Amino acid sequence: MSLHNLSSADIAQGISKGSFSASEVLQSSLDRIEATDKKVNAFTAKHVDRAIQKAQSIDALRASGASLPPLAGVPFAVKNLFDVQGQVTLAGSIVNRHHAPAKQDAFLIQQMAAAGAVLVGSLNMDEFAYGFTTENTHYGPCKNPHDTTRISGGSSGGSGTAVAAHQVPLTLGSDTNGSIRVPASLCGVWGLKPTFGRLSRRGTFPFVNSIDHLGGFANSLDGLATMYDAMQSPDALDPGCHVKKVEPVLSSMQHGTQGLRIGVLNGFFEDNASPQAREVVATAAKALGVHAQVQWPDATLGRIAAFIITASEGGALHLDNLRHRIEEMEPLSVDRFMSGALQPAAWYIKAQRFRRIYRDKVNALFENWDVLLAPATPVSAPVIGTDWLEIQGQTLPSRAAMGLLTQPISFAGCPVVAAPMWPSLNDSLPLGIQIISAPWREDLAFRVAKQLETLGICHLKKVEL
Amino acid sequence: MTQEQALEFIQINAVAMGLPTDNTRLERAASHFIRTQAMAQLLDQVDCPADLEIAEIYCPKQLAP
Repeated sequence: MSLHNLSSADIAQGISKGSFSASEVLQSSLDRIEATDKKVNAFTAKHVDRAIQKAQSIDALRASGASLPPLAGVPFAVKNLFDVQGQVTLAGSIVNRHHAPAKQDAFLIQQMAAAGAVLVGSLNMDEFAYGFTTENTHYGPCKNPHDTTRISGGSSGGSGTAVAAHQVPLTLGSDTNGSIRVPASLCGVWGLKPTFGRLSRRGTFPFVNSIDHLGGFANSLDGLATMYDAMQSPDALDPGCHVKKVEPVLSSMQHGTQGLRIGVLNGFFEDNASPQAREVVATAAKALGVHAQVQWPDATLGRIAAFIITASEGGALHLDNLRHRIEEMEPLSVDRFMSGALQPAAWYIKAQRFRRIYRDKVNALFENWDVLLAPATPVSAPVIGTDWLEIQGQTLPSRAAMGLLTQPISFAGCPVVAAPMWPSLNDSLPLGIQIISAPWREDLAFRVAKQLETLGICHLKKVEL
Repeated sequence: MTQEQALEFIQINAVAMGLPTDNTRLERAASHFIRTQAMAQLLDQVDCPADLEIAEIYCPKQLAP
């Protein structure tokens, strides 16, 4: 049996039944990483000793007859902007190499550990999360397991690739403007960007405080939901964590889509989508029996405001690096950081004020709809090094354009399940959809995702590496 | 805004902020800046009443759960 192909539910169940041990699952994952990572470059560090200890503790727990937690023995890995105790938090940079090692794990890693999951390593990303391609100059580009000449997407590229390459069934990432949804789409795996303020960001290296979200990737929808439920908790120590209670989704996923008001986003989300991107949304809509077309309010302005806030906050955060260590920064993003640091304050303030109007309009939209569908990326994965994309007759900078369709959604803070799909017009390359719901209603997005999975519309594909 | 004007803006403000001022780098930053400026112009056309506050994160004290 190939343990590295199993879903997190199958792993936890197999360990619980005694079909295999947590230590065997861990070894299978480490072997898979060893065999494949030279080809895809997802991992920047492996945490073998602590992983062995954790797996042994799960095996001991089972031997004692105690009940096992929901992710017992499930290997996972994290984008390398998550603090891992005893490790330096790189955030994709070499600048941070001089920082002191983290004193404790990030909050979400603690939550995963409490649920029994086994941390095996840290993952490649765009430097300081400013990018959609993970063409990291310092650590090398992360490669798409479905075609290693192509990008994995970013900035959580290692997180998408590690799941698609069957190295681990679960990974954690961050998403400011699309950094979970873009790699999920391009790598053909499940992804979740929850509501802004749902999951604590404590113990992660920030990019844009006012838009940063954390979330995850999985090789099964059940795994994504179990992981999400395990990570939820109020956290008064993250000023951006707004929740007061845990709202699990796993138990309600099977409720179906009966009675849900589902629509397809048109306008901006069609105008900036390739034929393949339109096809996958049409396929999902047809399977769900959805015909309604819905206009997202002010999508262009929402993207612009997110773009400006990102540049300003990102540039300000790295002002000292720009002043003193600019030669060590990522060549693909350093000029954007510099430009952002010099933007007039009036642009930033206007964008933040506009966000309030925007939020009200998006909330009003969801008074009439429960779930909305849109492509996650305009195109499938471009070849590494691509500078420009042609989308609907427009020539756009490739590295920014990959986030065109995700940026307006996250700026409103809405939760999104990114679902893996496979356009017929492509040569086996995935292109995912966004299943979007109102703020704090992740449960509805999961219900629609479950329906699409059950219908066989959304699924992973095996890769040959 | 022309490329030259954007470069001039970037040069002056880079000095003010203590950032490196080599010309090649500033020219690249100015290219990004001019694209952002075009976007900011669109946003500037949105009517925001004076009492419209920024979207909030700051909270003076956590409410009791």
